[in-house]
Amino acid sequence: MTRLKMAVLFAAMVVSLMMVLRFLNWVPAAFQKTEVRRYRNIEDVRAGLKIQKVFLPSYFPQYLTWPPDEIFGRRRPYPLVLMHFMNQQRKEIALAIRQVDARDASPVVSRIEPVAIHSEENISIKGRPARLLIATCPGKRTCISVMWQEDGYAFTVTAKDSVREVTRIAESMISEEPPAKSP
Amino acid sequence: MHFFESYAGMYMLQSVVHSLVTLFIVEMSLRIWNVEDSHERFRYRLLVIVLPFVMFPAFQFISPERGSFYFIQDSALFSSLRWVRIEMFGKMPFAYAFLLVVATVSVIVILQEILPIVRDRFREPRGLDCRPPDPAVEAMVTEMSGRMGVSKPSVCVIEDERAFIFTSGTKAHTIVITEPLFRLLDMRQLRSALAHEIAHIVRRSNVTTLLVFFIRIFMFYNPVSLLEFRMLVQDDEHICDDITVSITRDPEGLASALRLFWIDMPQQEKIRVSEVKRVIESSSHNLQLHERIVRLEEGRAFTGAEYGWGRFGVTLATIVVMNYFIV
Repeated sequence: MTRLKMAVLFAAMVVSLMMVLRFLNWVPAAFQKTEVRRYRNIEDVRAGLKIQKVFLPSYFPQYLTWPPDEIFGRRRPYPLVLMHFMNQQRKEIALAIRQVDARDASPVVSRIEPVAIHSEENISIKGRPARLLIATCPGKRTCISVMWQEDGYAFTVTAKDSVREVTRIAESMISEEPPAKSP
Repeated sequence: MHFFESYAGMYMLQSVVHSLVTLFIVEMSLRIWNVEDSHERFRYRLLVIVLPFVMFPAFQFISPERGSFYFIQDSALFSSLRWVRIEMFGKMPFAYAFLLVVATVSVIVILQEILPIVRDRFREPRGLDCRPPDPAVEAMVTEMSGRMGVSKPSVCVIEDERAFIFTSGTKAHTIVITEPLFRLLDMRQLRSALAHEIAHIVRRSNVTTLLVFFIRIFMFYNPVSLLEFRMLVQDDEHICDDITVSITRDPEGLASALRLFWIDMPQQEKIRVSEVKRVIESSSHNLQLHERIVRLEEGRAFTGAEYGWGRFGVTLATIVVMNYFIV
């Protein structure tokens, strides 16, 4: 057998092994509802996860690209939708919106999840109690995170932007004021 | 099943998967590169035991994010965690199957390897009643160790009803021969048997085997290490056979000497449960001897093939890079 033939056979073996591994990696993700999967668009998420409400912001800063750059979703044990949006100019993820069942104790983190928190304060988002974090995100950039709960879901909006802009994005995801509490 | 998300759990799971992938690449490489030289085969097989032992901690040290959700989503070729997390009817069959295999292999290693060592350690020390060999045997050992470039080992003849020969020691070596062997082997066969033992000294087989054995004990749960260790020992025997033949130029002498170590098997149709272990071990011993004898008779030993460092490097790099993306 010539050296060239051996090299071709070796390369073929490596490629075949990679394909088999890729296939074996795809199998559980395709059939398991407990696996986090990548979705192409919001409609696919709604259909795939059977979630009635996927909360989206109505205020969307112009530097961000629509549709989301990537969407991850999971149906069980706790529903999860995680979206990442790109900054048009910088070509980097600038906004992450996570909607997860409030019972999920350790949900999937976003790509711009804060790595070091500088300050924390309680705020109100359209009358809902919320938490505001000023933090450092991966890449040593300052980012802001706002968290609140609604309809049994826990929401986290994280962006590399000002407190004002991130709060506006979060508020725009809530359509109505909370019902007045009975005395 | 949070165990599989801990460092120990990830090590256990990934080292088994890495072993399987490494085994596949190594065995395919041996065929594709047409590796016949026993030294080279030994080095390839060593990869199957050593690499899975060190790869996971090395990868995690280089890239702590390697096991993260985004690494799995973006870069990983295969995630073993996805399989152990599979749920069917509220159970996790693949996690249980993995743990069952691991537990079975662990029990085998403990019973077969660790317990006998512990038992020997606490047994009353028994000195060997050693007598020096005949001058002819001494002369033979002196001549062959000189030709192989090692200092002459001491030779110890002991009383035992069984016929065997082995080398003890990792620094100062002693060749131990039992009395019956002098009755069973003629001078030609004895010369080959002694040359084979000196070849083990030349190769420092005891040190290598001991180091590999420690890795194997550390990876007591790994079925691939268990099987591969035996193949590695067999490769070491091939290398020593090759060295022996290169010195004695007498493959038939070594083959005929090996035939005398054949263990007779019970001829009855039904084997008692108490005999199963012995029968399996004897069959395995005979199979390995048969393979070595055939190899010597067919002249497959002593090929003198060119050592392929290039192809070895390509195989090694492929294993490391591919396993980096297997989490």
